[in-house]
Amino acid sequence: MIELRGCGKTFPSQNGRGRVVALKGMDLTVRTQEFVCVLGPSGCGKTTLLKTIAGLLPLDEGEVCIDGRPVTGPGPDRAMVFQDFALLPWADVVTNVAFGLELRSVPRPRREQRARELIDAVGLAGFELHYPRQLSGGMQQRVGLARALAVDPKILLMDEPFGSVDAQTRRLLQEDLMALLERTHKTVIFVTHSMDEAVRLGDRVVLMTPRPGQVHDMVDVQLPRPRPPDLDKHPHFAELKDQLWQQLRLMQP
Amino acid sequence: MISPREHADSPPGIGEGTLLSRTLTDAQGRDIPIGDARHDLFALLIGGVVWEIAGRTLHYSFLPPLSNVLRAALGLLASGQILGYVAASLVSLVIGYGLAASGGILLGLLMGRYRTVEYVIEPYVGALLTAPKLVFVPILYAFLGIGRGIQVAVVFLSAFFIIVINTMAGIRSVDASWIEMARAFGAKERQLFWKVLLPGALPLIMAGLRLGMGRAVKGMIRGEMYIALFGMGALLRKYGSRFDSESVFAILLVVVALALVCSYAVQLVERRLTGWTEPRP
Amino acid sequence: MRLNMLSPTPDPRMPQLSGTALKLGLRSLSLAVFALGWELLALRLDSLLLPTFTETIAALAELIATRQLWEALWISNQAMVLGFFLACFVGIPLGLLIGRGRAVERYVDPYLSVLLATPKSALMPIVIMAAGLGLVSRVLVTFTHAIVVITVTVRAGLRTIDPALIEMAQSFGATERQLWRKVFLRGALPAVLTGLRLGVARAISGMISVELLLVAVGIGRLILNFQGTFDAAGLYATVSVVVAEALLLLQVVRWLDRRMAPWRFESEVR
Repeated sequence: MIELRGCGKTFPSQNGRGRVVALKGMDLTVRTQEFVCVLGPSGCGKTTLLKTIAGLLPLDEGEVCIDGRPVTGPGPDRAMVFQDFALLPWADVVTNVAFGLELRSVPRPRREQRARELIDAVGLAGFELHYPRQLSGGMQQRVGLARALAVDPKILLMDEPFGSVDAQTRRLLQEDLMALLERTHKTVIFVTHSMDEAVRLGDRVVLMTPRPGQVHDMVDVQLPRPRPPDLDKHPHFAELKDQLWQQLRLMQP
Repeated sequence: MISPREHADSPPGIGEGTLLSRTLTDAQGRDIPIGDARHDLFALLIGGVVWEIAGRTLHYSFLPPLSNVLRAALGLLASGQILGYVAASLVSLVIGYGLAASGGILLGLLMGRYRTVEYVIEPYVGALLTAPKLVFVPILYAFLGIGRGIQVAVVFLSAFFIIVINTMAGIRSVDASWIEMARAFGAKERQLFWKVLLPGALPLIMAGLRLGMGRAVKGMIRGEMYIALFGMGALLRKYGSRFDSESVFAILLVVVALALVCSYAVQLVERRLTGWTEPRP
Repeated sequence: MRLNMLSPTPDPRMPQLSGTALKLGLRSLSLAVFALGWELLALRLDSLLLPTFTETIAALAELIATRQLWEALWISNQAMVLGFFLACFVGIPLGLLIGRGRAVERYVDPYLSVLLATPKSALMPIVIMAAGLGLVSRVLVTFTHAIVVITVTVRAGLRTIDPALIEMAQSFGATERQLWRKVFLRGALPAVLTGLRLGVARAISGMISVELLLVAVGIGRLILNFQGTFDAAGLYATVSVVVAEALLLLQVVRWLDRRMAPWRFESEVR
């Protein structure tokens, strides 16, 4: 369970004058094994929020607790998936997937075996020795996903992971992500720009307002799990999307 | 003072780094080879013919026909004279370059990783990088006298600073997203350095080594011409003062061949180690 | 929160802790340490070969006051400036032409590669044989030192122009002339400026080399004189003048670069 209480984070502004309040008075509780989508206009602090939970950024105010313990840095219970994949270009797929394990000094044979299991799970069997530059965007993100899952985290932090791929690949990745999570339930915080994606994937959608970043609203997604193949025709699906859009629209600058 | 961006090879811009490669990187970061061996051979052949004709028709003492030069070269090689000088040159080159490479990479890594080191050292590196290194030889001569020492020192100075700057730039150029990713997976500082910074910096480090080799060879020749006692530079001065243009050109060909071989050797290593550099979007 | 804020590698999203103050402070400190260290070492060694920092400064002051230095600089820089400008005059158009003409480039490229790798100082005896010992040969020396790097840099720069832009202009019916004016010259500008920067350094190197190795005039002669008379302070002073000149010219070209192509210098907030 993840709890944020009164979280605040301020950055100096890009041009040197003034400051940007990325988060302020941010309260949020995420239940264990819940899939929460964080949705909001550009610049509302979604990524800051995620990095805070990941332990990459210290908070100026408030605190983040996981299962009652405050977050002081990155830990084995959390893993991140990045929008620009962040794969090491000089390493092949196996090495990339095993990277988190390598950092934890897991011996090579064990970590490579685990890596191969996950490479298979994300559908990249046969590409173990390929290099990132030889892979398409969608495939690279699968590697990123495999890498995150390889360390067996309780919490998955995903920062617009499907934002850099085309729409078709995006759908495929979404479906594969859902399938993977059906088997291994994790707590997921998924940042996205897309209302469609938020409703398609999440148990709950948290809407954030821009500067300062705060929770504007929370919407429970009452759609069946696992999602039916004809989800797009489900009346509630369209309703939810529209509801979100109406709110987002008001938030645009 | 010196922005690493200026001296390093940062695509899609250009810098010294791109110059020695036989491909050009276009705006998309793709490498386009410029011609191939056939064109090279043809071009050099034409050049050779032109040289021969020019040498024979225009009777300039400073432009002997190619055939004469080649004959002189063979003569020098056969008499065994030149080999001793080539060996002498190579020894200084190898020692000086080796020192410059190891010392340069070390300092560059320190400067890249620790801001304080950079702030303190950079003005000196910057100043010495732009200065003509030959000007320090009279100073060095006072301490090292004539001999192997000063020759190695000249080679070292020529290569050292460019290697430092490129190594530092290499560390700086490491994509912040890789660092963040590694941190997110719990990398400690040491792991960050060996598993992300160093591999990521490798392309620029290699570029620095390649450029350093070019400068080492040039420094070597300059130093030898100044000291005028051993090495091919000394031969150049000797024959130059005798107005023996055929021998001068002959030695020049050997020098050029040496420079190309050395640069090629470094490029081979470079290609092996940095084959992963991907075209940037 | 025990997170590691002081990342040794720059995290652009991390706030900077008074970087400029720290920078200035450290630099002044290191300069002071350097000067002091030099002074103490020289006093300790008490050798004819290592003047103290203060002696060097004094010699420098004296040089600046007398005509000697300025005459020497004038003589040396004549060759440098003339050779450099000649190299630009020839090299920049040459680079542009070679870069544009793919066919020509294929055959010229091996020569450029060879020339680039060749130590230009090795060409000096030939130049002297051809042109004697006067200003002309020194100009030729600095010319040869600078021209190759200028040509090659400009050529490479032409390549970095996005082919999509060229296609776009062509699709709007641009003639070769218009392509040059509106796409190539602008696009190649950063490369030209880089070439100038590299060329200046090489021209200075050529200027010094020829004077120290073959034709003892100007600054080179000053240096050799000081060396010959064991006037270490004068020697060091002259050497620092040379280093200063190189730095100064580099700054001039950098300034020019910033003026003419400011878009290249995104704020490098360190």
